[in-house]
Order: sequence, then structure tokens, then C-alpha cells
Amino acid sequence: MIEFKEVSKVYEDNFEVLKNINLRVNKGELLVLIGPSGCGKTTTMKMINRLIDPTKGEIFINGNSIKHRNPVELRRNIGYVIQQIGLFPHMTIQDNVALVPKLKKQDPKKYLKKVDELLEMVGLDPEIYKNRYPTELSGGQQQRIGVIRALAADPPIILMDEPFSALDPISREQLQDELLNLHNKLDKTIVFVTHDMDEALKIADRICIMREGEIVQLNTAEEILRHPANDFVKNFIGEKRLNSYNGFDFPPIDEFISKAITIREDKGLAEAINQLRQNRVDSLIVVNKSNQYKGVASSWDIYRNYNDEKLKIKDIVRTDYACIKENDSVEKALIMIKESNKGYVLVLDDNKKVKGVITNGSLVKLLANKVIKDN
Amino acid sequence: MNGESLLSSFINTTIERWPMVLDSILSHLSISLMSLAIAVLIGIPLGIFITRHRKFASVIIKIASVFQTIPSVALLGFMIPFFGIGRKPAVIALTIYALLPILQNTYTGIVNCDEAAKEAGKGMGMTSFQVLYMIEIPLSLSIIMAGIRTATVMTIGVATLASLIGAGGLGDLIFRGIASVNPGLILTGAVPSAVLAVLFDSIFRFLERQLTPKGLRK
Repeated sequence: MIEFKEVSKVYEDNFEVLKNINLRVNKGELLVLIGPSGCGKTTTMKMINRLIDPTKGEIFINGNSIKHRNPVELRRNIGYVIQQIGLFPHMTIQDNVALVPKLKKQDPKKYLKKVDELLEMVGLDPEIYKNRYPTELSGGQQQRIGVIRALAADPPIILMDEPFSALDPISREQLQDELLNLHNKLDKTIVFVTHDMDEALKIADRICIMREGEIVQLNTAEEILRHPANDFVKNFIGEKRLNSYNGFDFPPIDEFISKAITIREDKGLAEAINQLRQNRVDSLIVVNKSNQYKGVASSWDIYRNYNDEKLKIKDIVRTDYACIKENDSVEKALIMIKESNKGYVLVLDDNKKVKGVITNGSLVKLLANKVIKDN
Repeated sequence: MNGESLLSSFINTTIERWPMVLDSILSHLSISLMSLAIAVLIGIPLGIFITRHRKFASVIIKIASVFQTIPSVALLGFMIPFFGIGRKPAVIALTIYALLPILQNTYTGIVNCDEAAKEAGKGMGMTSFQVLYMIEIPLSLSIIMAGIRTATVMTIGVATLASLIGAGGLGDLIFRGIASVNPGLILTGAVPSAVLAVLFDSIFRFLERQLTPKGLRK
């Protein structure tokens, strides 16, 4: 759809903003250009509608070079959304949205209907909003207009230059969701510039990470998170996101260990019942003299065999319980709890000494902490 | 002479010499408005031109400012060797005088209007001319109009001096009043001049409000 071939840009002061960029944007994809400021992401985007012309190399849209396309005509066929929104304060919302169709001299009847449809699509009642002026709208509403203004003439390509970064966090989230919706519905090719990695991960089909005029990595969010190309990418994504990708942010396992109620293997069953009652548990962890794990004695087995006075704990012990090491991940513990159906998993150290148990209760605690943290 | 007799002298003179007063008012107006019209026709396009060619901006604005610093009486005098006496040199001098506020306000108005709107317009495929008349002029209209108003008030005032180079106008009454030590006659020239200035200022203020796009009105 859009293709950059060996594109470079050198400014008059010999500053090289782009160095030999080769890039393909596929039809219907949402490609995010991201990088620290000065990396050339905006320059790259602005070359697509010829707001900036390359010093070297060529850009193709649908296989045709845009080098000699009339920029005005080219731009009317490419939607453009900017960070500062840039609505025309002296025009009504309707006139703002209808601008490009008007410039293209389309039939007013048709495009005015389209304006109403677009307003409805972003949840703004046309009857209320179309005759208002931009200053009468909130920031989030204004940028919604900014976005649908780019859609009014139904261009196949839309360029978005940090469109949501000046908005408050709630509006930003909403607009990102709405953009994803629009993108799913409308099958547009979108080139989206941002410096916000969370935004990129959320909306992108593919992410193009740039640095000092070069593309460092171009791939899906999944691939970039799994295989960051180098330390720069790792840093840019941030350690936190790389971890949180593996499920979510788990604290270390020892925060979830509850005390294990243990019993020595050579004790009798009466003593075991006493332990069960005192600690209000339904099974005891069996250890030897040096506190090494030997198995589990369930209350069921203890009560059932109580009448046989000769029996010791070691005679009724079962060993088919799930154990993990203390340096394993919490995730692994959770999976084992789920699979074992016993409601808990034992945590041992390298010498098979019992460190404690992780129970279903720990899982609830973990989720509760997560919920509290997120709010 | 006390205030009461000054007032009655002013009223009597105005009534007695009404045909002459009316004549002076009309010629005063015609000189002023003609100069203004020419200044607008030159100043606005020139102001727009220098927004497009910024390297000329400071030079052109400086030249206009230099003319502004010449005392008005002297500027009128300068015209005589080149254009003789009468209305023509007066109109030229007044035009030069009115040029700066119009030129400068046009330039500043356009240069300072919302960058984001201009960028959005350009990025959506407006031609440079469309950016000018669909965005820049509507957005800077109130500043341009303010320049025109300043120029109007100034021109109507300075036009009284045009009488010195034989252009007629209300200055005739004022200078005749000075020569004959007739304060009533001075007022007969001065009061209509002030009234005209205030009147035209209000007219342009009204026009400005009407022309300001609804979304920008406060």
C-alpha cells in the first residue's frame, strides 16, 4: 500500500533526520511509528502526504511514486489528524467535518449526510453538535471531530500525528478504543505516530520502533515483546512491560507462602488429630527429623485409621501432592494448584525442606492486590 | 471669553456658515476616506505578501515606520515639490501615513493566527490561497480591522492639516479661526472633525463585529 524505498532526509544544516528508510505499510493495517523525540517518526509520516519531501529515495502509494503527484490533490485523498487538533474555530462542527469533501467539490447532499453518520459513529448527536463551534466542545470531543474530519472524504489512508497525547487519560483511552473500532469497521490503512508505548501496544497491528533516523525494529507487538531486537528496544519498551507481558505483574513467590502445619512422620494419629483441630486444617504436611518433606497426611486418612493404635503418620502418608521450588514463579504455583485439585501446593527449598504452602486463598489475595493496585 | 459665550459663538458660527461647514466636512471626508481606501488596498495585500515572504517583512515594515515618524506637517510639505498643492498630494501623504497600522496589523494578525489550524488546513489539501481566505483572513480579521480603525481615527485627525497645502477640508475653518482669533470658528472645524473620527471608529467597530465569524465572537 505505502512503500518507502531508500528514503533519506537531510536538512539544510546537514542534519540527517532519516537515514535510508525502507518501510512497507500493508493495506488495512494500523502501523505505529514510535521512538524518542527527534527519531524521525513524524518526518517519516509527513512524507506520505508530502508535507515534507525526501532528499533521496522515493515513496510509493499503491505502486505509484508520489514524487510528482500534486501535493494538494494527494493530501485530499489522505486523512490527517494532528496533536493540536486544529479544528477551525470560525466554522461549525459540520463545516469542519465537511471540509475535505467541500474542497473536492462533492455533492453537498451526500457529504452532509456523511457528516451526520460520522458524528453518530463517535457518539455525538448530530442534531445537537453539528451547528456548534469547536470552542463549545471538550478536548476529547474536539479530537473526535478531528478524527472524523479525516474520515469524511473516505480516504484509504489516514495519518495520525500523536493525536491523543494532549488529551486527559480517560479521553485518551476512550478515543483509542473508538479508533480501534473504526479501524475494524472501516478497513483503512492508518499510520499512527506516538511516543507512548502503552498506546502503541494497545492499538498497533505492527510497531515500527525508530531511533536517530533509522528503523530499529518493525514487527507485531507480540514479536517485539518476545524478542526485542536490542537493548535500546528493551529499554524503550521498559522492563515492566516486558515482565507484565508474561501474564501480569507477579510479586515474588515468598509473599504468598503461608505457614505449613507440619508433623513428624514418627508421630501417632492421636497427636495428628490434635494438630488438625488446633490449626483448623484438613491435612498435615509430613516431615522427617531434619524437616524434609515426606508427603501429606489428610484428615480423612487420619480419622479413618484412628482406631489402629499401632499406626504412625508415616504409614498413612500420601506423596501425590504437587510441590514447587521456592524460586519458581507464582504463575507456576497457580497452574499447579489448578491442576492438582488439592487446593494448595507445597513450597520446598533445594534441600526438600518445607518452606510453606500456597493455597487458593493466596490466589484470591494476589488478585485482590492486583485489583487494588489498578484502581 | 467664558465657556458659555464660546459655546454660543460656536453654535452661531456653525449656523451662519453652514454651507461652508458642510462643504468642508464633505471634502474632509472625501480626502480621508480616499486615503484610507488606498491604504487598505495597498496595506492588506502587502501585509499578506510579506507573510508569504518573511525575509521582506522587517524591511517593509521598517520603511513604513520611518514614514510614520516624519511629523505630519512636514510630510505634507514634502509632497509639494513632487505633486504640487491641492488634494492629490494631501491624499498621497495621508495614504502613506495610514499605511503602517494597516500593514502591520495584517502581518501580525496572519502570522499569529493558530498554527494548528493552518497545519490542519494544509495537511488536508487546501491550496495556499485557500488557507489564506478560508483560515488566515477569518481568524485574523479582528486584528486587521483594528488596524484599519486606528488608521481611520488618525487620518481624520491629520487630514485637518491638509488644508495647509490647499486640499481644503475642516482644517480650512480651524486655520481661519486661528488667523482671525475666532475660537468659535476653530471649534466649528475641530468639533465636526472629532465627531467624524468617533463616528467612523464606531462604524468600523460595528462592521468588525458583523464580519467576525460567529464561532470567534466573545
